[in-house]
Amino acid sequence: MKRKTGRFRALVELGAGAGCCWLALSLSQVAAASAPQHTPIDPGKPLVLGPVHDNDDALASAAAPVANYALRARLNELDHSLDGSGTLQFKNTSRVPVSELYFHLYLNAFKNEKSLFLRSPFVSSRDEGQLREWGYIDVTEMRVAEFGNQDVWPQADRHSPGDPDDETDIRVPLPQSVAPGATLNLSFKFRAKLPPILARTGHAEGFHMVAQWYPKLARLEPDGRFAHFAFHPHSEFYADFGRYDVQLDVASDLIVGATGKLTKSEARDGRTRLHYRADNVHDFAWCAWAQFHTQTRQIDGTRVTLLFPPGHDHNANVTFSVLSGALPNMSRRFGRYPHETLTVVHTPDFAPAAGGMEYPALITTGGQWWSAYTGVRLVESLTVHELGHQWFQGLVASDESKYPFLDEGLTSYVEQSTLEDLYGAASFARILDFSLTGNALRRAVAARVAHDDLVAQPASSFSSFSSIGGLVYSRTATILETLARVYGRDRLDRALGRYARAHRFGHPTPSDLLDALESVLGESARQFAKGAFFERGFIDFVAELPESVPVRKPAGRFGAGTAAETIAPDVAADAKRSSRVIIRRHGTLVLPVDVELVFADGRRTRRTWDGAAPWTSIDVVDAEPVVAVIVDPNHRVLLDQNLFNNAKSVTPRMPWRALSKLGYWSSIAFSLVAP
Amino acid sequence: MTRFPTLRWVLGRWDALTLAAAMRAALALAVGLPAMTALLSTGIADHPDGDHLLFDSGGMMLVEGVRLSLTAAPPVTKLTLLLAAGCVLLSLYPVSVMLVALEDRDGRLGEALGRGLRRLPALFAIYGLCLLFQVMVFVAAAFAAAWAPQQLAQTLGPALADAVGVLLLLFGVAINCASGVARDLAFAAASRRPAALPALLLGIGTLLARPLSVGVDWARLAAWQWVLVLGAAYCAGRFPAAPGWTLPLAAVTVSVLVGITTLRGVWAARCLVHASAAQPAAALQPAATMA
Repeated sequence: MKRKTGRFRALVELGAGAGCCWLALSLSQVAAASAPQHTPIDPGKPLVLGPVHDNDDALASAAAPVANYALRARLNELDHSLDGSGTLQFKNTSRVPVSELYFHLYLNAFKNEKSLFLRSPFVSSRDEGQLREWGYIDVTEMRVAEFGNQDVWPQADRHSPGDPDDETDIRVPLPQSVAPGATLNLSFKFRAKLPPILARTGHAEGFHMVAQWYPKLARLEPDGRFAHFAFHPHSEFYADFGRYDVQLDVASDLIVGATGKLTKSEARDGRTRLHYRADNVHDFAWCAWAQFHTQTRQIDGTRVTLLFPPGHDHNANVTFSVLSGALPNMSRRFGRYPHETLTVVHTPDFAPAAGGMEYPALITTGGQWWSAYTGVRLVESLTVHELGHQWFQGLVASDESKYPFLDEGLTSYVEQSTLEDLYGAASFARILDFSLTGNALRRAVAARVAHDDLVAQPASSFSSFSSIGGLVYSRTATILETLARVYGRDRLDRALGRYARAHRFGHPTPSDLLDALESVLGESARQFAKGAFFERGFIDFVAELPESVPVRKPAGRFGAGTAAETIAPDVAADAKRSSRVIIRRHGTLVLPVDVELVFADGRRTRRTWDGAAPWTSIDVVDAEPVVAVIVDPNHRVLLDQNLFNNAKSVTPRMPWRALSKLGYWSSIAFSLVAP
Repeated sequence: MTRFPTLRWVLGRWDALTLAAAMRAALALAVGLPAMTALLSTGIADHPDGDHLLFDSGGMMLVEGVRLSLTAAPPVTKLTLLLAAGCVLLSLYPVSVMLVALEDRDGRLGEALGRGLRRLPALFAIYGLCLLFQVMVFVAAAFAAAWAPQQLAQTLGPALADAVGVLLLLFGVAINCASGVARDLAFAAASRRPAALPALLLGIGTLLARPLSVGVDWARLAAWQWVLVLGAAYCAGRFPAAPGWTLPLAAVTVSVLVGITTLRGVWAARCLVHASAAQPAAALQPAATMA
């Protein structure tokens, strides 16, 4: 999902104990093991994170198919509806018999203003605005072949569990239990109506973004529970892997982009039937618009198709340019991109709410036609972010509703680190001679929300979408960037690479991420990450004013009797001076840090402090006094709450340069306004 | 007068010019003062590497400085706007003094100060009326510039539609520039005719009577002003971010301020010439009797 910053409100603070409980809960979850090719998931087998996952040699090439769909849909362009039908082959991969199914009917979030998604005027998704036209999905039948083709939909609950007003999370009881390892074949029919574009899906001026459009089976966890949830404005999705065979029937003038590979296209009577196939995915999205321009290029062995509005040719070039760097970059770091195709949709200017979203093998970007001319890398960062999701949720399919930081946070780090690989310090913008890195912005946002709430918590527990933007996106990225700078970027990449490769086509939890970090960076990194993600941990290094005195002989009477010697106070030992510097570490997180001492003659020396204690003092005897101290001079601890209290000088320096610039530009501005 | 007669004329009143430059600098500094205070409150002065850290590649410390100043942003912004409004009004005084001094080439500065003060009410009224008109034009142009691209996007495509919007905005800017020129001509007329409305009408009449020569004069001086501002910014941007370069930077700032004031003086002198030339001599009372 698109990164979102700004608008920070007061938050509901959860107690530190909540973090511990959350950790305990997540640790108790059995890790869904990643599967070697065509091997069923063995939920009870602990995963060994080791060097075997440092490269692609042992990479799983396919997911264990749990939910295979065959879908047919006809798009009614005039009323923006879909007539659909399909089959679902579901395999019980859990350890226990399953007696009910849960289906997500996401489009019902837009059915009326009593839905969980729409009912609170104070809780919004990334898009503001009021719906004037409703979206919904009506399932008309659902038959199960194994139960004599019996229609089980009439017995389905009418609303989400515990919520009589919401219809996005529907339980379907089965006539009989399905044994572990057994397969069910369901067939269903539905009619879906798209809303005006809102929260990733809908229509606008002939453009259709069709996502979460079919009855989608909730993810079956190894213990036999379905990970189902009502569609909350802050939440995204979670599903099992499978194979998708999709036939779309659309007006022939429409240009269509979709998850997967187009295998067949038939045009007849002004309509076109398109047949797509996608393996090893957990969702299928598509879009259609008559005015799309398309370009296709081969990048790193993947056929990339870009759909973009007329007039956006420069954006198209920029998109391909950044993809040609980012796709191989991520494949190298997190395991090769597995799909034959990647569809990139630059949404029309009038449908920004459809932009900045990820689906397997399909991403949407956005921006005005002039965006790429401004010097701000909005198109690039959006493209790289959504591409990053191909790994962190597309392949490493964590629960986006329960642990949004696992996909959005990791992807934000991947986005930023990739952009720095490609553009250096100008990773966010280069305007004339001024360059701005995305890390500077993310760090500032992360510091601002540091005490607001937990990072690792369900999407629905955040007080606002802005809070998610700050904590899940920016703070997670800053935590990981801090680990990269303190422990080494290569090492962090190796840890994340192990996580991504080991859990490819799997459904890892936060403890799996911590395991991966520990396996490469060590126990201290695990503790740091745990505190930062689960316990609202923070860190702030503070330097105190250096003190310096002449080195004196200790005064007093020494010895006894005739041998006693009395030394008077203030007797200089030599010409040297003794200096003391005190550094404090505020906060609960512990990291080692460099401390730079500046002597009066300009010399500098560095020490490393392990940061374990709340404070430390550094004593130096030298011919010159220490006149200034800088903690973390290279900004390794990006999570540091305040960078300006890291330095202290005996003689403060007036910031003349900054004042001159301010004075200059205020004079110029004044000249323009004043007569 | 040989070459650059107007410039010589203006430099001949160096006393008024210096006073105007000093007053403008002081007023500009006053406007920037709240922001400077906010900057100092970040603690950047404590860093031994100095404030050039703020301009390091990547902008890490600059963004942090902005973040730490954010709590002060609302009061600083309000104070700055208030100060700016007050200073803009006060800046009419050096304009008035300059016009009076230019007209009375051999007069003393003390006299110009007094007469400039007496012209101020007329200048306030002219400035207020002009500002009101400019705000209305700006709002209308901004509305049209936002509305038109939406209507035309499907027909013309997004780029051309946005270009239409930009053209509408530029049209608004052009009207505002023209009204600014008329205002300056009215200021010049007001140095002889203290009533605001007749002076304003004279200013508009002068612009309509001599659009080409007035326009060329204004454009030439405006262009020089932009060359000065952007050239200085470009040069200053190339100064090394080292403490020793602070003085040259300050020198550039002062030079630009003096340069701008001189150009303003030249423009004021040209306004006086145009106002005199466009109106029948009888229409303008002798300056001496106006005091």
